[in-house]
Amino acid sequence: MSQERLVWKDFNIEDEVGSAEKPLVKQVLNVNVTNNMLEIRFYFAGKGTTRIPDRGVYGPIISAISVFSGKLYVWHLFSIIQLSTMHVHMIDLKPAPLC
Amino acid sequence: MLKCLIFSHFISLWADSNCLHVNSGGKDITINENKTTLSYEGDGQVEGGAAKYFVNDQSFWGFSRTGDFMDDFDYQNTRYTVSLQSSTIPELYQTARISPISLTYFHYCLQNGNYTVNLHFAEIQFTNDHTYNSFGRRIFDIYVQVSSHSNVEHTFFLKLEART
Repeated sequence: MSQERLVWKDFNIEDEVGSAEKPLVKQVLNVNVTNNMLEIRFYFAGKGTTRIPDRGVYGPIISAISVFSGKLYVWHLFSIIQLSTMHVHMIDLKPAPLC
Repeated sequence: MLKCLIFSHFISLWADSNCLHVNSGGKDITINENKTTLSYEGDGQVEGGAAKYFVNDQSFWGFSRTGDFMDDFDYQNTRYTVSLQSSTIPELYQTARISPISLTYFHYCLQNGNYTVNLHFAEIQFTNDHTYNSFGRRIFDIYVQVSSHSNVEHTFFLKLEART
């Protein structure tokens, strides 16, 4: 079972932003995660040019992805399940990144 | 929720996340966005192969990529990243990950709730000049999936079982 949402079909960066070599941010709102998993899929559906400027230039391209919740800048939640107190000093508690 | 455990010497931690910042095809960078400092984790070090499954198990994300650019002159591409050295576009956009067929980024151990996803794009393989290089048209589809039993998750479980 999976719920998939087609966000953009026939997406063309240059058509959206009007130019090459120019940043474009597309925002997808209200992504409701219910099973602790999110997937973002980019798919080449055989459209567009394939040999400009060289052979093999086609298919999805992505510069960066950011995902954030409505509650911005919340610390990670950590809870200790098991702890061997004898070796506490050996534990490297890596601080979670700030969102 | 076994997959959200972090195993370290003598301790197991349960952890989850409510954000993701990935600099696709690039390196780890810190940038200022809306007066906030954000760390984007890079995946530019991940090499090629016709199919690739990569997991950053410290931060619970990864990607799965399929396909080889069969029609270029490279028998099997060793890298699926591209870059453009330019002073006119921000560093985040100077590198990118590409795929000839599909590319799926995933984030597991994500706290349930409502999220906003920002997808950052820049066309860095075509140009703006009036040469042949500017005539390219890149077209692809984008899906967002909130899944319960996806293939990616299944693969992750298998990997975890194999390792422990």
